[in-house]
Amino acid sequence: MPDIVVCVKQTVDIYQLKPHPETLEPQFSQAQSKISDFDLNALEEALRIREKHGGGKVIVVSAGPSINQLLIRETLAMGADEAHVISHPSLASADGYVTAKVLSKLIGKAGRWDLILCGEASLDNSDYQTGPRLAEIYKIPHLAYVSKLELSGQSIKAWRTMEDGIHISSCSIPAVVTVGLEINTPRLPSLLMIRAASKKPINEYKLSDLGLVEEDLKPHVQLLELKALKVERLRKKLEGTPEELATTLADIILGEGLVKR
Amino acid sequence: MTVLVYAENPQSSARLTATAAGYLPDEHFNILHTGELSPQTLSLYGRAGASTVIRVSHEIVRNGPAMIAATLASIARETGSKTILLSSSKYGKEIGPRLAEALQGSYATECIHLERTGSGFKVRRLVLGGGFQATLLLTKEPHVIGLQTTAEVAGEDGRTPNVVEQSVGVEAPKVELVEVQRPEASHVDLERADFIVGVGRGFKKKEDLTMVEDLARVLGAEIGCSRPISGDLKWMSEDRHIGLSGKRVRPKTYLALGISGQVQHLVGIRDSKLIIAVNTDPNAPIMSESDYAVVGDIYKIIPLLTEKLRERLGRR
Amino acid sequence: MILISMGSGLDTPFRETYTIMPAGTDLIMYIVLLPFAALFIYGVYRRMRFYGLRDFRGELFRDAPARLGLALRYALLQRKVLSEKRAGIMHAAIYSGAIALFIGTTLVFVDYDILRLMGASILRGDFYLFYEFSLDLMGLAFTAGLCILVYRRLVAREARLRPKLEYILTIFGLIFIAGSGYVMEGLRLSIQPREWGGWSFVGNALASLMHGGDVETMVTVYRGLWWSHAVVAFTMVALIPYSNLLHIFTTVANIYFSNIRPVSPGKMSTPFRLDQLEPTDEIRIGARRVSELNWRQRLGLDACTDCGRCEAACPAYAAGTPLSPRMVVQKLRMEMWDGGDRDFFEGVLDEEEVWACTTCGACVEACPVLISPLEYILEARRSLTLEGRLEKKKSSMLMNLARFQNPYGLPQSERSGFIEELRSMGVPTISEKPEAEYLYWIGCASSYDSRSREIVRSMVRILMKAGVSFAILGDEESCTGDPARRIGEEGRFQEMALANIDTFKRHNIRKILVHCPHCYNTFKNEYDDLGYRPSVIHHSQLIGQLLREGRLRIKKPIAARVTLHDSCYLGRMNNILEEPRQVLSESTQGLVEMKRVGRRSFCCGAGGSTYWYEVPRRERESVIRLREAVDTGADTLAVECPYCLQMFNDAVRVSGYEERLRLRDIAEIVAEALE
Repeated sequence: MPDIVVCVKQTVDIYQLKPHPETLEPQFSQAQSKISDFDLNALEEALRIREKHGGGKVIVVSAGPSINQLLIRETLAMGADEAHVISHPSLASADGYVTAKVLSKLIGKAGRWDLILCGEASLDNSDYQTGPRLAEIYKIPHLAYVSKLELSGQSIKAWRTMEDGIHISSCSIPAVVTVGLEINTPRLPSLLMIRAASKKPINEYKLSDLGLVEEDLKPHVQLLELKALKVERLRKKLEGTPEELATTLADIILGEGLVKR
Repeated sequence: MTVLVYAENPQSSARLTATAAGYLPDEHFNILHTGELSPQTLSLYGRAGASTVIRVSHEIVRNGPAMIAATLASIARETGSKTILLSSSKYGKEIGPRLAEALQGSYATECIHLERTGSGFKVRRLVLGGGFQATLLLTKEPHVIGLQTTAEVAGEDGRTPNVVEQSVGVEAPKVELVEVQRPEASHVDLERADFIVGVGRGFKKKEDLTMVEDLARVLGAEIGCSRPISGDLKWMSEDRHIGLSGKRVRPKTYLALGISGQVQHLVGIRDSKLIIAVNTDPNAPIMSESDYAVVGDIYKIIPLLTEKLRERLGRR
Repeated sequence: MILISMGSGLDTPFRETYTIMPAGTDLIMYIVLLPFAALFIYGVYRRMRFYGLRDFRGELFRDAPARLGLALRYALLQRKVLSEKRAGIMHAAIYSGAIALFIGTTLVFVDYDILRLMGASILRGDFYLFYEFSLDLMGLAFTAGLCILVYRRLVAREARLRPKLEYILTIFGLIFIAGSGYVMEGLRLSIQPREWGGWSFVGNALASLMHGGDVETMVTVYRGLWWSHAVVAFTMVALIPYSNLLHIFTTVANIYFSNIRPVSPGKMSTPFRLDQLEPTDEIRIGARRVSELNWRQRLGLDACTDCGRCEAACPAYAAGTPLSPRMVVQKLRMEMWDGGDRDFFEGVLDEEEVWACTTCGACVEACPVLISPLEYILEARRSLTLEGRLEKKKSSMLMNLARFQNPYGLPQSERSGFIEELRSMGVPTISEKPEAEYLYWIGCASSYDSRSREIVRSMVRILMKAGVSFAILGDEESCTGDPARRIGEEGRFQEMALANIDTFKRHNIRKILVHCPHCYNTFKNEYDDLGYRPSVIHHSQLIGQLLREGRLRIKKPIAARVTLHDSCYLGRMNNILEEPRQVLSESTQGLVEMKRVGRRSFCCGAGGSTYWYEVPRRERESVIRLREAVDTGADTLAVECPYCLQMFNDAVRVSGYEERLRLRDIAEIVAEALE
């Protein structure tokens, strides 16, 4: 009956993000926020572990510059029991170090836990930092890039997707596990479930509640510039019958002299 | 300045060092090596630009990333290295954050560019699905940096690096590697291929991929895929996955078949010289990011194309 | 004619009951009958318990006149059963024959066990002759029906008839009863010839064949047949509550109580109102256990005769998906009969069966006894969606609705581009023209899909040519919520619908013009439950009206022979069949019809939100339907729905019919003919 903490990050929806035509900066105001896809996979996995191993709490923690309560409520609607969040504008410039620090303070409010689950990386930064950093803070093992997870007693076994194949590793609990998109398909709570979840608590904290001051939020890494990469492509559209198109394609491919004769 | 370098195997460490030397020409590179050190490997390190090799026991790598990070931390403290370079492979990305947390310094990974500034570093990396480039300033020492390896090791003889034996007695949380399941497919080197054919969700069944194999054979091309194909569907092995969290390729020609073009995949093919996409949907994202956007049915076009190429290239 | 006469005389014809049987047979028979009767009564009681109907008497007398009307039309007069010739005639023959024979037996009971004890008789004289003649005649009808039945199963081997042992035994039973009845009649007339014997003409003919037979043997055989006939009949009746024969009662009951259900299968039930719920109310909707079905739904399961007409009409079944509406009903019925209350998806149904449904309503249209297999499927979907047990594509579609208010998941900016184009054509938004007569609702398909946008362009030209006063909502338009409702997400549907109703009320909108049958259906039939009843008109109807009023003139019918695909949500669900045809006849060279026409149309496969996800299948419904269209010889396939347009667009490409068949919406055809 493990108690599981799930770290979720509210990020911009990168699929809606378009660069400003002149400055090439991302137009965040035009895009919606959502919970990072990988974190939903982590939450789903936590819920499945609970269903399989009978009971235990699933606790959501989240830190960010302006947390959208509705998104957190959706995680509760999926099945998490409670949430602990902090919204602070300085977190807009948080790096991995600050994030892990703040999250560990939130986790401190969550009571006892056996496992921390999070996405292997966040949708926006894809830094892959949060999980291993938390593991280092707590001095516990971590398993990353997990596509399948099994618990038995006080140890866990994970199938990890690496570049050269699947590495099956195991370690003892407590531990941190970071998951990939392929591990499961997160459930989608219906509107009715989201409404019913308003009974579950979302605990909001101030810096002082967590024993932190402004100084603690100073990152070690600063963002200087963020710009779209512009690669000009020909953008030639080709239409016609399959016969015509195949001929044209063959011309292009051979014409470019790219195929070894 | 001394830079400590470590990657999952000697070849990677060497290439990492060579890449770093390109950005930091006046610095000394110390490569951390685990296990037996052969003369060939030592020579390799030398040609890569290392001045010292720190040799430790191979035991270090048997117990997971926490142990490796703790070891690197200990050596960094002892040798006074303020800069530690890791590869930006998954292996490196597990170690880096733990190392940075232990040293309480700054960290960035998947850096595609590196520049020394005063007491820190300026790095560039791709974010937001790969559609944007961030320029970051690392200020707090020590600096842990995961660098994208792009250079090859030069052939000329460099000097032979010193070898320093180090014994490290650190404790760290253990992870046991139980088994490695490697895909049956032979080693695929997409990053060095000249012509790549990419496969996406436009294909309905795994069996349909045989027509792509035929085409690739005629073209002498490698086959890659988007994440769903190797991830969810498992029609192809992970080493063929091209994208932000897969391989970044730079072929002369990339032929995208039935790929919609999510931004993460586009990142992986961005450096291709020529991109041709075939898709029934003229509004698919990949169509506006290609040089030639063919609006058509892959099931019809691929067999015809294969036939035509076969004719024009002679018997294949 | 003397019906009841007192006294007897052998010159008056009368029914001689038990005369060949030994004395005391009547008593023994009633004793033998007892256990069978008990079994029957117990069975009826148990079945009614299963339904769980609390207030039987109250329900029985509520709305009685209307319900009796339904029972008359659909049960007594077999209206829907007769819609299929061979099966209909077969059943009518068996059914009327059985009723006649049942009345006949009842009259014997009345005559012998009641009137006789009072010294009277009804089966006597002219009435008796009429009685004998009618029964022999109806018995022939019954037998003819049985012959057709055997033919259908053994020779024609109709695919929708299942060869269950129970059915085969029942058929044998019926054949035996008919056969033994006639043979006994023949024996009786041989043993006791009567001058009025000719009125029992079949028996009489048989008797002449038995002429010269040994009387003793004949009596023995007669007595043997008599008992076996009785026992077989008792058995079959006793087993009615345990077998498919239960349909005798349950179909009538189901038909009688069917007015509780909305008339159009296009209207789903509204189990709660979102704006009247407390935020933290825990609502359970949908049904995935027998106990979660209401009494009428359970009765419906028992009314199923396993005829398979729904399956034969089902497009998902034809396309080789896991769905057969008949099997859904039968499986749920078996679960109920077993007394089980399992979760449907743990051993009764497969999820894919439920998801493969396009909600086209063909099964509801086909069912002769007014069962709606669709209802069970939709309730099961609601239950699955409530739990959030949806795979990726379905969740993505719902997420898109939640976040972007359209199922495509495309941002408002994509819609804006098209709206700008329309405004440059001179189309005002409702804010610019609040007094507009019609609100032209574009719908998601035509806002985002490039092919479907053509419908709007054509329609706008038509409206402007006819001088119609209309406006669009522009940026304020979002999805009607139909995809959410069909997939089972009632909460999300209501949230979107209530938002739309708010917009309509704010702009004081009375008349809505749509070109999408799904939008039409939802506005017309489903928004009502949420407190808003607009007047809705489909573009084919409006065009027809404009032509009739002379506000629109066809310059030259286009050079095309057209076949019309009746959209499920327009034709079958909402009975709009004639207007599109009139419009097409006027604007083209002529209309040819596909075999499955009108209310029997074959779905394109996009309905029920199946457009947004995949189920295992052999082929696509649209391809099947396309072949039908090509077979008519037409050169143009006319559609009245943007989703049909998209489905057939894909199908035409996949089947390679681009050269043979042009695909056009009605508006496009008319716009072309106006040039």
